[in-house]
Amino acid sequence: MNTAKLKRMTRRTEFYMLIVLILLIALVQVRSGGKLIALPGVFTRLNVTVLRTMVVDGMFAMCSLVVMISGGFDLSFPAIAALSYSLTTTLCLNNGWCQSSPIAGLLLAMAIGWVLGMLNGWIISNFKLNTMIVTLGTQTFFTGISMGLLKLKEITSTLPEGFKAFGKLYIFESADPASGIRFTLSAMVLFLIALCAIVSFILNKTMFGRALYAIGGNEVSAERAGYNVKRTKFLLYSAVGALAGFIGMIRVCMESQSIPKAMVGKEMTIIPAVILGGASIYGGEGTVFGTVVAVGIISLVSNSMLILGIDTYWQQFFNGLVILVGVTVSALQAKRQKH
Amino acid sequence: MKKIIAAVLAIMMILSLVAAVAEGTPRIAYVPKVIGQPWWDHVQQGVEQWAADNGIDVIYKGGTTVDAAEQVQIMTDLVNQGIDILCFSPNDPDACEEICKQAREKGIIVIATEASGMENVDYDIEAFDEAGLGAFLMDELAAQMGEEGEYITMVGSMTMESQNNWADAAVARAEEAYPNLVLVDDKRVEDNSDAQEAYNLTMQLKEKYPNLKGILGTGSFDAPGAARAIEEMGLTGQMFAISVAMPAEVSDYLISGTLKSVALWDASVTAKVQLNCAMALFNGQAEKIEEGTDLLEEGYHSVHIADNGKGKDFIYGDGYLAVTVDNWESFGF
Repeated sequence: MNTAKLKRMTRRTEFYMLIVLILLIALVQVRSGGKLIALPGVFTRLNVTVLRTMVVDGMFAMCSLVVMISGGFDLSFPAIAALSYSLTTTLCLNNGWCQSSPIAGLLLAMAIGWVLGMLNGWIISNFKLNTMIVTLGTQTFFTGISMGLLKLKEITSTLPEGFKAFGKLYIFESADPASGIRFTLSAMVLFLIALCAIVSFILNKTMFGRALYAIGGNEVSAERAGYNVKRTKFLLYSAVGALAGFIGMIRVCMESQSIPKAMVGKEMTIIPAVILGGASIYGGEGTVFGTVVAVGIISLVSNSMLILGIDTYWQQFFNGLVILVGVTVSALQAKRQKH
Repeated sequence: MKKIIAAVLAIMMILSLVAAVAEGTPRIAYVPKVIGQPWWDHVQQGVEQWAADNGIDVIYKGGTTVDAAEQVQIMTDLVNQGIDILCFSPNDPDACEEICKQAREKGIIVIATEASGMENVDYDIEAFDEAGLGAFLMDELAAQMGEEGEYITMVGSMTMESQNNWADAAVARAEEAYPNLVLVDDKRVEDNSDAQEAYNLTMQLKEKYPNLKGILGTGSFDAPGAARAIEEMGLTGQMFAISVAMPAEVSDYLISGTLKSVALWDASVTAKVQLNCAMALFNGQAEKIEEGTDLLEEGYHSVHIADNGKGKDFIYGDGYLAVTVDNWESFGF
């Protein structure tokens, strides 16, 4: 590796995040008495739990990442997810759908999310308003529809069997050598991997991906360079809506319950993670790899607080610190690039 | 002719308005911990039924998240709007003291529940005394654990006064009656009233304490979350959990045998009793609620009075019960 390449690498946030993640893994490994990584087998009870937590957060982070690369903020994706899955599960329950297969429900949630996302896209692309303000408005609007207008209720034990069975699928099963306790690697991890691959492909290999980076870098230049800014933004926000609906439904399956207000405030843990992973708050920057590393850090911390002997109050402290560090690093980098 | 009819109607309307004011229908507000959760939906139904039965409107208003600051804001708005009666269930009793003090200075009758330690209220009403429920939870869990093994307590949040008091009482009960039950080092964990968090905590706890056998939960998310983890670990019948919970929310686990029982009282009845108590004070039927007073609901026909430890009385009824696989369907929620 030549020095120029090394120098370039050390300038990237992802590089430091990866170091943090490795140090953290080492710390948890030591404090837990070797429960995080146990060779020769790859999976342990602790790391499958961390991976499981990463599924929903990681997929939401992908939503947030693509929006941030385009220079926008989407605060409404948790509200879209919540309205999509709450409406879907209520419809399925009332009509007796999805008793054996979850596919219709997943498609329905995506369709609802797509429609909601289109509303975001339409407002943002047509009126050229600040994305944060627009999505803050639509977030409240969607929550209002769910809780006020439709009065959607929690669905727990009565959740259609198709969803419950789907959420319990696993691709690996084993038992903890020490205690004999069974553990499984949720099959939902495959969705996270697939989504990361797809987003990575779109960002790096397609015109749409290039358009996102260009718009995020400088919208006026992008427009002059021939990118259709309006159409790109409309497509982006509608796609993120559909994706949010899908992710919400995956969460419902994994938890075997549909709770309309479970997503409230979710954006406030996801967006900092994406910033921490190297996405710029000014747009034009961000990678799938950095985002996955950052989500990994947060999932690992939240799943090992007790093992590390950290009081639960300190988790809030940690989350606050993440926001501060992430935003500061991002702002400093943007400043350095200008000079 | 039309003019005369119109005039008569107008006079009648004015008279009925005067009559209503003279009769003194109070303006009542009920503020729950949160809205949009089954437990509080059930309370809301109770409050609405009470309003229909008594022909008095009740404003039912709460936050969409379990947030002390948001709740205080809602209470402040209501007090400033001008109400006569404020019934509520605080997320953080200490945070509500100031606004309750202001409300009482304005002559508003303030009735709390699940906050027996509060000072600036007319009365706090509990379905039962906290020590009684804590001991009940412990007795149930101890029987399931065979009266031996390691256990831990779980609460929705460390700031939720009553849940922490139940947990304290449960621990006291274990120390007194079950010498072979051992409380692990972490003693108490909080799940932010989220079943997913309760699940994660259970997974982590079992990792940290391989011999952990029981989780004494309190809030309605604790047992369902813990049970899902226990089922996934394949530990049904070897590890146990209990908490207060809604029957329909835990029916899967009661049927599969992962949960043997959960504890419950009917919070919608407690809410009605809050309103009954407030009405008694408002109408001047009673200056003070005494031991044995009838507050007009099942379990509260002869209420108990106890000192809250700060020199203030609170009211409690006889209201907890065990929900099992045999009786969960009878509750209808």
